[in-house]
Amino acid sequence: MCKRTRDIHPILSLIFSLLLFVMGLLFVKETWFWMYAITFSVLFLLFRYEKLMLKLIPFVLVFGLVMGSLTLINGSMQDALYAIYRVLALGLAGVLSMSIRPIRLVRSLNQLRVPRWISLGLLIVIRFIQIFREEIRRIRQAIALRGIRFASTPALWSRAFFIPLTVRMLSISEGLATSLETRGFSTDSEGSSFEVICFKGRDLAFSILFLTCLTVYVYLFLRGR
Amino acid sequence: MSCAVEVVNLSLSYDFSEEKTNREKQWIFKDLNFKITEGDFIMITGHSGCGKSSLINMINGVIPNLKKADVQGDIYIHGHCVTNSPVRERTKAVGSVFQNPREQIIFDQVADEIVFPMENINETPQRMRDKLNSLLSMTGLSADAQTDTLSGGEKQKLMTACTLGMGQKILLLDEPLANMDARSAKELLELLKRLSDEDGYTVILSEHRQELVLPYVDKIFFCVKSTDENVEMTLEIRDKAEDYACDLSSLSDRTSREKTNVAADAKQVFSVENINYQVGDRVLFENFSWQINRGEEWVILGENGCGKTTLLNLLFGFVRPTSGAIVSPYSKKRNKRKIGYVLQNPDYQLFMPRVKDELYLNASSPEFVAQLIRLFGFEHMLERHPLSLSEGQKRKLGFACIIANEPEVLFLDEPTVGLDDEGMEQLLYALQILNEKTGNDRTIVTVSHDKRAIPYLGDHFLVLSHCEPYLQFCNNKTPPTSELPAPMLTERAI
Repeated sequence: MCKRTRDIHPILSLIFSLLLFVMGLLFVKETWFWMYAITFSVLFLLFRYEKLMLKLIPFVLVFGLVMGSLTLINGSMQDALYAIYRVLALGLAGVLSMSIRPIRLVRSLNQLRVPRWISLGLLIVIRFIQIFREEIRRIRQAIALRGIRFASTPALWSRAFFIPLTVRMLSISEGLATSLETRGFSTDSEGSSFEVICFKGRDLAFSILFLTCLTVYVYLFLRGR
Repeated sequence: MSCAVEVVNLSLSYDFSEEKTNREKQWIFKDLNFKITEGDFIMITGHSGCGKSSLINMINGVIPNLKKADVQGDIYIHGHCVTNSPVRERTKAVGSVFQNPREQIIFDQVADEIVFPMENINETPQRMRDKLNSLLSMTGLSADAQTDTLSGGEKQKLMTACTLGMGQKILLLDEPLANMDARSAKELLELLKRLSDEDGYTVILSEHRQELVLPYVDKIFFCVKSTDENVEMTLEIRDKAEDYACDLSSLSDRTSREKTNVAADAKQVFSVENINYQVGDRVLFENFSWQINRGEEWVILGENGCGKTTLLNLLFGFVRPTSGAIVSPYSKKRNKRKIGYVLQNPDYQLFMPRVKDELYLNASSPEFVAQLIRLFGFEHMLERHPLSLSEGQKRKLGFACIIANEPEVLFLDEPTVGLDDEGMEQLLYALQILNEKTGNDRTIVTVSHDKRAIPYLGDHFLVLSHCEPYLQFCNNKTPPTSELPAPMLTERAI
């Protein structure tokens, strides 16, 4: 049974996200790049991605300015602008890729008969990044609790950072492996799926609008050539 | 009733030296023999590091399949020899719940985590949905809750739910109650008892908090010191606990003590003023105000996930309230060093090459450290790497390192989790010594679920609750019983 959700199909989101980024990189030097960015921003707003867009704005602003400033050291104002546009293309692609819930992606890959060790491996990698961030936060807190400052004792700080980090990562990897084995995970069997990820009318509408807009810009790009 | 688990001449050693014969090797267990009948409810108990987890891991196959060890003898599950079977083969009959639930969570939503093992065993979506609903109502978890916002106890419940969803008839649980509040622990134990009595499940559970588990079990496996010098532990099997008593008589029971040193105008160390705090959509504190004066000893009680650790983090300044303020002289960076904070997981706070270095790092006085070494029995492990110690020893070391700095304010987050009675006594004595050093002028805020320790950890109780209002608190010595999680406090504490 298909679950009612506002999310676009994860495989579509993944493909469109990649397309948006690659095409964005191709189009940065075009005079109409800003139109390209606005078009897809409006499309995202239509499909209620406003929260994710708001989340990404600080990243695009800060990273864009940093990249622009660095380019400006050895390049022209125009090059700096292109650098900012590249970050903007990354930000646009990020809206779609960040909307993918890892478990939905894994389930849709399983439906496409992608081996479970690949789909679940992908999920664990995504999960591990989150865990890694959380572990770093906790270790830094623990260092502060023991009164160790990087400025005064850098060697001790490094020790207090890297040793628990290594130990925690090994411990979590071991815990995850054990947990998978004891919860019946096996690469030999396909397993069943709790949720069927279906293509819905909303996916179709999004795909048509997305591909139409993209085709227009590809046409403009090719005509310019 | 047929036999669920049978162990024949089972031996375990972590001594891999090839030149040693079996007689010369150091064994954790040697030639264990026991039978567990279907429907039995067994508790494995003993002091920290005695091999309770190892015994469980030998039955489910984690040892030696995933953790290297020398295992000899045979294990039979439902009459079939599984000695050489991999973990996934044994998983068909045996469900396991491990310590440290945080390390086992893969998914970011509760429902996905619970259905994952069911997907692995090819359950139909409808059956998964039914099981999911019943497990959610049993654990009180929300299907859409994000796993990284769950408290330690809720994560433990989640992992237990995952295992129950698979429906194996033999359940192995390694300290499943460690982070649970008394109400949740009672609910889980009642459920396990029901499964054991009515549906013939065999439950094998290792636990330190014996007083909670004793009313439910049929047999107790005590890990006791072996008389053979080459063997560390042996098992004593009893039908029911005989004399379980934790002798803390020489400690001052803080609930009956008159604290003369806390003056009416004692200096305020923390003033929480109308704070609001929420994680995602979950409101933890709403217009919450609280004051802590110098020399007071508070114990924060409450159900899992009600914000106990978060409150410590708010006081320390690791997280900021959404609105409102926490005023404290310790908010300033240079004064923060005067706060000692013992985290739930000691792995984060241990990093020096030797136990000795860990204890003397930032220690205020070598005499006090020497006293702590004697008290905790660290004399024979001073040269060892802190991370090579057992979980209980690490916890004691983490605690000792923090109090060795003689902090003015001490935050303790579940300090007695995973500690046996002896370890808990040592920890409470250490606190008493620390207090006596400053004429009971130290401020201590403790988060605890441990019924054994609560009466000795403080004389002021703050009870957090999910129910309205978000919290109730009582700053006198007699917290109203109705506001405490049902079986939490003994008559001794109240």
